[in-house]
Amino acid sequence: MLDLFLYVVIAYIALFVVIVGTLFRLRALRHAAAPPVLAAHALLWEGIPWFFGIVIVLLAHLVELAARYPWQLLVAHPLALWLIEGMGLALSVISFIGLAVLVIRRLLSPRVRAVIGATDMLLLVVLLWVVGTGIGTAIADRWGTAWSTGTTVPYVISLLAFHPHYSGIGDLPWAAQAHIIGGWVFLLLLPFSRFLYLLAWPLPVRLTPAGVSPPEPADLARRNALRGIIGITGGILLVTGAGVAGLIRYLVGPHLTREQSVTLDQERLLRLEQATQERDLILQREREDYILVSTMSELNRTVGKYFTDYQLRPALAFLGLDGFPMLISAKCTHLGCTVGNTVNTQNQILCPCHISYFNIYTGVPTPASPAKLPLPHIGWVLRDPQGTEIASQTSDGKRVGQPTPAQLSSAQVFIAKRFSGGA
Amino acid sequence: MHFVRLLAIGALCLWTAARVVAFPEFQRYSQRHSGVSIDCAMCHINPGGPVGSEFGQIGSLDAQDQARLNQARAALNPGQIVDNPILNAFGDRIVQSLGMLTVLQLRSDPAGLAPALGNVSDLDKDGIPDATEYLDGTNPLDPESGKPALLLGNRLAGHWLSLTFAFIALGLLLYGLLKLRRGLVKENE
Amino acid sequence: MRSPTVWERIARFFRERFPVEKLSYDELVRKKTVPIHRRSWGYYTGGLVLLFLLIQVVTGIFLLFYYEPTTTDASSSVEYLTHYVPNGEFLRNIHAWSASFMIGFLLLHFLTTLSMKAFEKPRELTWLAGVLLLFLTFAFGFTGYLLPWSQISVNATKVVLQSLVQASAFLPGGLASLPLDVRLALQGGESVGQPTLSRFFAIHVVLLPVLLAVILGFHLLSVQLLGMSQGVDTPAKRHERFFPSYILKDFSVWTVAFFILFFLALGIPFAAFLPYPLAEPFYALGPTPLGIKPEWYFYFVYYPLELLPFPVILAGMTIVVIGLFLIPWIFRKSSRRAMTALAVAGALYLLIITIFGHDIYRLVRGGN
Repeated sequence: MLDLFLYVVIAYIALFVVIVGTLFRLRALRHAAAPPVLAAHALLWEGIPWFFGIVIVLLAHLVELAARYPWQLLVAHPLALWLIEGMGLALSVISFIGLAVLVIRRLLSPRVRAVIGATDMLLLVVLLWVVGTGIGTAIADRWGTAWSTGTTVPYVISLLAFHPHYSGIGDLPWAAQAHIIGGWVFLLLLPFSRFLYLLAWPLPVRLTPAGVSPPEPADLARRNALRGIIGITGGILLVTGAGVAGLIRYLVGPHLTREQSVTLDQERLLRLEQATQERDLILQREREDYILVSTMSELNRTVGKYFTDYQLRPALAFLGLDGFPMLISAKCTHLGCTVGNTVNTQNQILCPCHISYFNIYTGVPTPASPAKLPLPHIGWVLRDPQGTEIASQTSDGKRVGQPTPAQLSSAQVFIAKRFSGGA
Repeated sequence: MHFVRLLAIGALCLWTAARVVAFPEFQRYSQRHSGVSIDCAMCHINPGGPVGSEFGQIGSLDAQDQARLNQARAALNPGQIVDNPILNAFGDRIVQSLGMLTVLQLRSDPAGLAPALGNVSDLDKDGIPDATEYLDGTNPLDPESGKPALLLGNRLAGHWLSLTFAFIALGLLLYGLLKLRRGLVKENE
Repeated sequence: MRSPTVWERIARFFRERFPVEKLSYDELVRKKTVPIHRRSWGYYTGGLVLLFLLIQVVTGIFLLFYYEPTTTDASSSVEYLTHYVPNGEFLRNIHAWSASFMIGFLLLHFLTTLSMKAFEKPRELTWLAGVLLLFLTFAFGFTGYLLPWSQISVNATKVVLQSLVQASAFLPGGLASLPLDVRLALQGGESVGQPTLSRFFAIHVVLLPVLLAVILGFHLLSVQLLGMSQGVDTPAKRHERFFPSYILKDFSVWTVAFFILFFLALGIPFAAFLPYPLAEPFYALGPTPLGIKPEWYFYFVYYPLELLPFPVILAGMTIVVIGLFLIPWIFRKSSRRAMTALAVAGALYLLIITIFGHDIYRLVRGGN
């Protein structure tokens, strides 16, 4: 549960908050000038080492995420692995130093302290944590460049695909786990801080207010309108042309080969035959007082034979424990799906729709099943090969007749209209 | 001796194949690997499998189809043309590529079917190899069936010309709407 | 001075909410403005729903050229259209994707109008029409789902219609037979079959479009007559002209949305999101395949139905449906802040249950 909360719930909340929060804050950011602390001389010991270090390391993270398999091929070469790990560690240390200087300046300088808020400081601490644990992972559990492609990268991809798989993350070294959690916490806090300008390039570029442009001459408006009409007409013509051409081919239809025609007609014939079969079933049940289900030799204790009862509902025929047939409705009492015909080791059949298990001997569903009512048993009649009735049983289990084993083995199983109630 | 052994194995396989008509091991593996429910229609003509008397099942075969079935079952080695009346094109392709001997051996190692098939065959031409579709639990004979992410890339690549025109049309329309708005809004202010 | 009669009050009520005197070029075109504020993006959502509806109508008409509404030929005609007819697969995909987009943006439109309190006087009738349109759109989705006559189409429809039978157990006395009658009317028989397909086809292609046209016409006219709602507590200081500024921006949004739909329909067949056995033609005499579920836009009802007792869901749905119609009066005095909180809560519920409903179900019930 804790893993689910830390690696899935927090992750999704963080992603949601950072996307929605950033969109909201961007409107304000467009009209904001860069904060005064990004003056050029202050960048040398804090901004530049921090930004350049972390941007390259982050880029490497993103490249690995976007191109996992090429990355795996790359780091399979020992030299490439050494280089990437070494550079990553060096840049992380540089960015950590820059970040540390950033934090210290903010703690020591009253002018800067006046500008930043508590959330900003908290964010800086979280960043120190994230970068620090990243360095710790790189030192204590080396070659993360390689092993992350099989652990953290699939985890992040599964989150983005909305099928979270986090089972291996809890087994990672604690530094790696702390690094991941720290990353989500950082994203969660980012929109609430002033550090959205972290998204900007770290040179003293001012984010100038939008919309300042020289006034347009009067005829420029007409020219724009004309360009607009030309552009729209061109776009519409392109879309309409392609659309009409496609529609004409669609309406004309395909030119089928002989093989394709034959295949299509065969499929239509198959459906017609199935429909005829269904109509036959309906007619049979209207006309006949007895419907053949199976011979006794075809019945099985573990795999039921499907048939259709007098109400055209699916049903199953099994061989009972006493050697007599056992007929049970196969229409799930929950929402009407057809249950499966294979009996498991607990003498149950399964409805696959909402996972209800029914005991085939009592028809009763398990307590955990969504279905609450039992599957009803169906009455049957046994006839010998000459058509004489030798035994029968009603749906509530009242049996008549005592055939010999020889009679039983050669008998045929029927359902009877007189046992079907509403037929 | 070697020849006698081979003959014995071949006879055993024929005898086994003649009796065993469905290989649920492959279905179970595909379902487990992909996490998606599949049915027998991945390899068989009838979605319910080969056992029964409906279309594409053993019980519905006439004499001619029975002969085809026996011939297909005797394709022990790879490379023989297979036209099994209970298998679809993918099922036939498996037997044709690997031979019945290998298929029977792979029953104890269904994970080995995909590497054995390789990535060459793509019967529905959707850009996803049939072996991958076996692992993903999608239908190798239906170009609409496949992992969405894999289909997206392949299909967009296949329709690059339509996409190019679409981008041009999109650009023209957005440009035109922007310019028209600038022109009309200024005029009306 | 005598007090107004009931009829005069009713007349005044409708005059305020449907000011036909504004049916003039000046009011509808020249003078109409749209407020600009931080929630203005919400004004575009209704237009997007209209765009996708138009796409549905056009693609639906062309799909009719090949579709055959019989149980023997429905799935074959859809397969023929998809695999043999040039651009048939693309047209079908656009129709399927556009249905999802339409419902998605409809829910967004519903939530944004709720949060902007766009239902307050004099827009109560617009809201009522909107709620009816919401139900009609879901009905479109439900009836259209059956038409391919595939395993998932028929079995999912059977499951929904069977739940009506469940509902009858919780209704008192004479009302108990009502769900059964509704089911019989929809099914046209004891089980889902040809009569069901014929009825669903008629409902999807004729009845619902006619109803939609009437109610949508009223809804759009009402929006044009009354103008865009204020949207925020303090009336916006800036406004832009509806013609041409807003409408051209609206068309830009439509253009982008259409091309996103185009790319998706070209790139991802909608059927790819289903296990392939569910897309096979329906076979009445076989077992129900695994994984039968309604379309994603019904998950907000489906998963609670799986997890909670039926009477709880029935009571909840009844309250919500009645509540939706009464929102203009229930929340008449509520602040926009409260409405936004409600809309955000609704959005979060819809997002979580739709995306993670299956995982939540597995967590609670275990297994698949």
